[in-house]
Amino acid sequence: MTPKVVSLEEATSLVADGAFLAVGGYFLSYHPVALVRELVRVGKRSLRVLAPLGSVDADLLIAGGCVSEIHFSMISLEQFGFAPNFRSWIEAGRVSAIEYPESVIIAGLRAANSGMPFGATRVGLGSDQLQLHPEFKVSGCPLTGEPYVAVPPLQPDVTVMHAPRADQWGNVQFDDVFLELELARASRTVIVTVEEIVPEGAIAGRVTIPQYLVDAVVEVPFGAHPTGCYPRYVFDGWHLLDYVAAGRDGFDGYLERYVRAPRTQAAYLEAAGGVERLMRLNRLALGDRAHA
Amino acid sequence: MPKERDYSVDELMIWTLAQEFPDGQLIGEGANTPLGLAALLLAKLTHAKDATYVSGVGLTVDTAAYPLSLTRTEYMVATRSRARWDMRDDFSAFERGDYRVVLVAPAQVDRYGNTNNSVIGEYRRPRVRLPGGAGLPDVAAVQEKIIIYTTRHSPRTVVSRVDFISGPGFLDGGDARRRAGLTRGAPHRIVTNLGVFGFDPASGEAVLTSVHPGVTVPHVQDATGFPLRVAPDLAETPEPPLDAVRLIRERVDPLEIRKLEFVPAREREQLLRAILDRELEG
Repeated sequence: MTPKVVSLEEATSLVADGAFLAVGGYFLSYHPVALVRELVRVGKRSLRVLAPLGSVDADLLIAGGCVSEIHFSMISLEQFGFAPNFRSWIEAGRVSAIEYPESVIIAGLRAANSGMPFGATRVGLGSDQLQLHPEFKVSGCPLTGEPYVAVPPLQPDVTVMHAPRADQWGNVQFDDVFLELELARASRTVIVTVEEIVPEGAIAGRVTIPQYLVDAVVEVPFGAHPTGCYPRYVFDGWHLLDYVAAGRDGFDGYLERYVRAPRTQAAYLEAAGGVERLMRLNRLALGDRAHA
Repeated sequence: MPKERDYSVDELMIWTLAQEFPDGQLIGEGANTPLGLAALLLAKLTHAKDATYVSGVGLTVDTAAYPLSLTRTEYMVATRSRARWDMRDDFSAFERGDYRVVLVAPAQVDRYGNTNNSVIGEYRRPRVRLPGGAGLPDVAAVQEKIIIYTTRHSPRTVVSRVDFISGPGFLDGGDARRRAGLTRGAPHRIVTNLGVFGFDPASGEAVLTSVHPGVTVPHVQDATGFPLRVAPDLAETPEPPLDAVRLIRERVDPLEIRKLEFVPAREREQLLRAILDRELEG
């Protein structure tokens, strides 16, 4: 076997302009934001992005001008507010918003992963999201006649995701997964950024995504920042407040300071508060004193 | 003159919402919002001790109650649960309708219990692009009882017709929901900062069933975007018992994260900073 370890920049060469790109993570956790920053830096264009429960990841790709269509069920900074660029670019008509119910994304991925012509779900009946998807069809169950939504297979060209650890062959271990395994199975190409590359034996028998599904592994400590990667670090609430504030000022200052100027992950982390901030986020993940 | 009260409206709403969660069943938080989660946690500490709580954050199964947290929810649920699901397990349970009662907190709700968290204005060029329906259509299609809540009851949030149906209620009323193929479940209540609505099962219309202490029907009418239907036996919403209020303050939400859903937008950042600092000191 050939090792699959590459640099961030090398990994971005696997994402073609115009690709259908899925991004992992959910709410404010486990988004591959370091890789997203690199995609913005190298200037990807016309991506059709699938972010099932997106946050900073999808929002930064939009801010960087990389996105033509955003496919999602929700893009939010949760209690911190709206994702500012997602909101402003769609309101200005610069990005197409293609919204899905959550279960419909899952039905599409399940169809892709089981080789079925469609996935079936009751979810979406009566919802206006259905009008945004001419590719779906409401059809009767062949056995009972009950109406269902038939969803064609959802097959990303590339999925990017962030995980706690992997070995050099691309065996990936998660502590907590959202749709990562479904996305990895459905996608032609899979890029995984990890907190650390570990020796093969360290995760043997407890691998979440086996290597045959994975094309590239990149070691990027704190690669989900400013989102979280429990139990290593929580999302950076202080940074998210600044992120939302930057949205009120046109966002260019944020892009310059945190995306364009820092050429490496180390330089980014320094700009984002350095060791002191990272230790704080780590301490919050460790929990209260009784459990620390 | 309204009398001095020993609780605030957030605590009244949490207690009112908590009563909806059944004991001995699977429960989860449809709305990933402080008030809905506080209601679930209060239920777990009081009448629903044997409910099996699956946390939407971390997908932990049979999770014990914990104090609300801004940044440390994953830690809280991971250290207080018996098992872990992945999204496929959770959505299988969800699509089957196992979470009988689900709370949702949309930006808009209308007289037929339709909910919107997608756009204000026209879909393709919206005045406000909201975060998205997320699980609203999912909840609305399959769960037995949909409990909708809003902390900002106004003609902009409780409207005659939502701008976009993210989550279907009774659609245009009457049997429209059934005709759309939605044969399970239905909107059950709307709980706001002013009162509580039920639904007329025949017409699908929201009916005001109680007003909170100190609130009048004309006050609710002024804040509502459609002519009210008022139940003949309109009541005053029961006040939360003092021991429940104490639980909310001491065990469910000592950091006062629930206040985020009530403060004006301009004070939100300051409150978030204060909560982050409190959590760090914790």
